[in-house]
Amino acid sequence: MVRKLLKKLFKFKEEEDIQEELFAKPVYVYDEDPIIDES
Amino acid sequence: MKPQILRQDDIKKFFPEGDLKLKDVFFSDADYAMFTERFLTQEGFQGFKKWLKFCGIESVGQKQYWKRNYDCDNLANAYKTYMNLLHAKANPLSFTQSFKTGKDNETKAQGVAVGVMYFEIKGKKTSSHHAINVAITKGLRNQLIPIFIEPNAAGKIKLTKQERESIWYVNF
Repeated sequence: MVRKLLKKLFKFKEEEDIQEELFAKPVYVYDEDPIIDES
Repeated sequence: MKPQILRQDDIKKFFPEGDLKLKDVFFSDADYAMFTERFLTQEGFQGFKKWLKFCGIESVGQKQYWKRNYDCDNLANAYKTYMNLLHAKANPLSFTQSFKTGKDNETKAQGVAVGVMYFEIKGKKTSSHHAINVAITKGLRNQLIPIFIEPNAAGKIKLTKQERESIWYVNF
């Protein structure tokens, strides 16, 4: 909690913050598209 | 539901012998997962640009990310590497880790279907060669298609028939 506040206050980024910013989670093509049941 | 996997032969079908100047398609992996077109050209592409900026390669003027010492082939290789980094990051478990924890990665595909491609651009009197990316993904009609991506900030592009026929190098 304190670390979060310090990060916000001093605007510093940790390695994992930078990684999250730079590396988006990819979206794959799947074998079959999901069937949406609208009934 | 698992990500669809392509083998080398599946990818080769998109580059038919005889139609192109290309003699063969080069592969670094045995099989490949695919990213959606939207991801390759939008979210993923934005991430690629951020990553370049983080590395000190910034967009400057009309030539965008192009530099004399970091030109089209470097950008195309970087885009391919970036997409493979995302794939590796999204599937972090080694065989041993999977075995010990009983957990699986989302996909076992060795790579992602993004390649580096060279073709010829012909002017009236001159010609030059250009490197871009080609990716296999699912099109609007749910069929698999190759799309061409200009990594120098333009995103998805179309090639003329002449340009497509002049493709002479593809490496996935």
